[in-house]
Amino acid sequence: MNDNPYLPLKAEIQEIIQETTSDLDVKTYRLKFAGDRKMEFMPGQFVELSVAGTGEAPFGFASNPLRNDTIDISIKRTGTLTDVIHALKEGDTVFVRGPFGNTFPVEKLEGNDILYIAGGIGLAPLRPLITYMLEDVNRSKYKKIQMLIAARSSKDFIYFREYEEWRGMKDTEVTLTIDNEEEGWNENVGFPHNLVAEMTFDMNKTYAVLCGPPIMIKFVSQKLIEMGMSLDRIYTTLEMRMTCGVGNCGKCNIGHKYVCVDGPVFNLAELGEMPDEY
Amino acid sequence: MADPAVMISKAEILKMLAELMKDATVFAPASNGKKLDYMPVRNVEDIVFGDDIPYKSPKEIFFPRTEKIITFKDGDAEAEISTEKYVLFGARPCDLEALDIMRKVFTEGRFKDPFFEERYNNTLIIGVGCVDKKPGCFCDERETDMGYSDKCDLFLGAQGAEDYFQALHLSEKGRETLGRYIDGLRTFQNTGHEFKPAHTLSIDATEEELFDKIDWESLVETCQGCGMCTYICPTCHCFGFKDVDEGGCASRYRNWDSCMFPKFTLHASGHNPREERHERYRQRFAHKYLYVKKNFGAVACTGCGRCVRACPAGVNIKAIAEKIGEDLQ
Ligand SMILES: Cc1cc2nc3c(=O)[nH]c(=O)nc-3n(C[C@H](O)[C@H](O)[C@H](O)COP(=O)(O)OP(=O)(O)OC[C@H]3O[C@@H](n4cnc5c(N)ncnc54)[C@H](O)[C@@H]3O)c2cc1C
Ligand code: SF4
Ligand code: SF4
Ligand code: FES
Repeated sequence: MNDNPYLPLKAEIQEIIQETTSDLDVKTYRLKFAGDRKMEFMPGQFVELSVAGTGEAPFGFASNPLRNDTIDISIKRTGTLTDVIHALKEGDTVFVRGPFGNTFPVEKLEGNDILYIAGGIGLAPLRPLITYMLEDVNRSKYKKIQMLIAARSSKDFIYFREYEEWRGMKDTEVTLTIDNEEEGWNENVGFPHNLVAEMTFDMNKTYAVLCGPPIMIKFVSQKLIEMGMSLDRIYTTLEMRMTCGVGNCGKCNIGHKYVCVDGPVFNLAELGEMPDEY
Repeated sequence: MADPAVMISKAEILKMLAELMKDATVFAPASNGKKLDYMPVRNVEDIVFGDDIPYKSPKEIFFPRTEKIITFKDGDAEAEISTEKYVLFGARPCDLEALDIMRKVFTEGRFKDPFFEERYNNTLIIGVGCVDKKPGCFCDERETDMGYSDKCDLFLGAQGAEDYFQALHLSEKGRETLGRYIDGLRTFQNTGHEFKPAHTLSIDATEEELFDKIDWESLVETCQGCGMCTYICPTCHCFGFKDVDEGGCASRYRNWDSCMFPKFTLHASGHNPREERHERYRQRFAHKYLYVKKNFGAVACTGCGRCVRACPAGVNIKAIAEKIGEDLQ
């Protein structure tokens, strides 16, 4: 990054991937920086992405940090800026500044089993960590990797095409679940917290990494805690309204912690010490 | 401290400012007929001396209400860094201490804010001491010495006999300015003066206590949520961005925002972590008295009294801090 954290880099949309098929509201944008520049980042971090003349918003990196010739950002349509982004085409220009925020503690997680629980677009910010761990150079640092991926319906999964590849890897399990029965669906049905209850893992050797709607985070963490997992072994990533990404605009703080610089990644022990204001 | 102390007359100060005006914009206390404020002055006669405190703080010189920060030209983004030279004359000790807190927030965190930093570096800051407290001021209780602050390039003590001021230069820039514009500097023995606040208003509590043990709703019942207190406060620095399409060329502006407004923290999902007015006031208060202290080592309220004087609803941050202190006993 240049030394002005507000000055964005120009990037070209190289590819647009339609993710969800039910309401077409999530697309992944593969971005290439002008002049073959690269943005070095680590899992958990985010960017401020803008369309000149429309505005800017925070989005998590959604691609493998070790393969950063391009970066992926998955975007759900929710309002003014995301509407404009969803109307862009391959070849169009966007502006990106970052990386911002802290990272998942990749070193601390080494030597442990990892349990991922993702709901809907919540898989996006976990994808950098998942793909980082599954890289050949890193895979042996982590033990068993279990992923529980939940979506409202079979059409709401993102990165669906990658699940087979992940499943094919050693010591890696992928469990899928949807909210209601569907014809032709042979995998699980039901909320993730109910499925977690049926899974087995070594509480003292497992780290859980959660991302999804607040209600899912709440129920899943309750279940994990009930099952005996300690708070500092459960990680999640927060979303707050953000403008600057650098700790100055005053929007994203929870107590004296600024989610844009001290977060967005926190474990539940850390969150427990923060005021309930998020 | 004998060396940096000199006596200069008001006439010499005016002459110096007139010279400085040739290649810098001079902001000084001046009146627009209604209020005394820090304003750009083109004529030294317009500068108001005396003990009155300007209505607003001088923060907008460094952090304007609205500023263009990025232009998108020829398909690329360019930063609009100010190169203008400024002089801030007559800043009060509370303003100087507050500006230093803002400097810490903008330049000593994980990232530096180049827009603020350049303006700050390009400004010659001349402070002046207060003689008396004004209604609403509680600087002495907030560890601010109304007679002195070293957070400037030059500091003028209160006006003495025959229009002479004791001037202290506190930076190379200050020393050089005095040397260049004032002939035959008369040094004097600066004995300094002692500042012993009777007691210090601070909040000795955890965030948890401040959230759980205080009845914020009744504490700030009258607050209208107008945001006046945040605009007028010398340490408040919340902002937002706004992109504007200016005839085919897009620009990004940074504008003051306020944590007192409900939309400030509204999420895309519709959820709002600070839904209620008293929760927003709690944020304003806790930010000043706890968060900045924890993150940057100084309480971000200098006791300037501006929010107390400006609030249409009579909300008084000093009284609130005192009440919290009692409630936490
Ligand atoms: C660290 C972080 C990572 C994120 N990662 C992703 C991601 O990977 N994919 C994704 O789709 N979304 C992500 N988001 C959410 C994304 O920032 C919002 O969906 C986006 O700001 C909505 O912008 P909009 O202009 O389309 O909506 P608007 O029309 O601006 O807003 C709709 C509503 O959202 C609120 N809003 C406006 N700006 C923001 C903002 N910056 N943050 C939150 N709410 C806002 C407004 O109050 C309004 O009520 C992330 C947010 C954060 C903080
Ligand atoms: S405290 Fe007073 S000035 Fe501040 S928002 Fe409330 S009514 Fe307005
Ligand atoms: S909170 Fe009020 S008294 Fe304290 S510095 Fe800000 S305006 Fe001055
Ligand atoms: S986004 Fe501005 S302070 Fe965190």
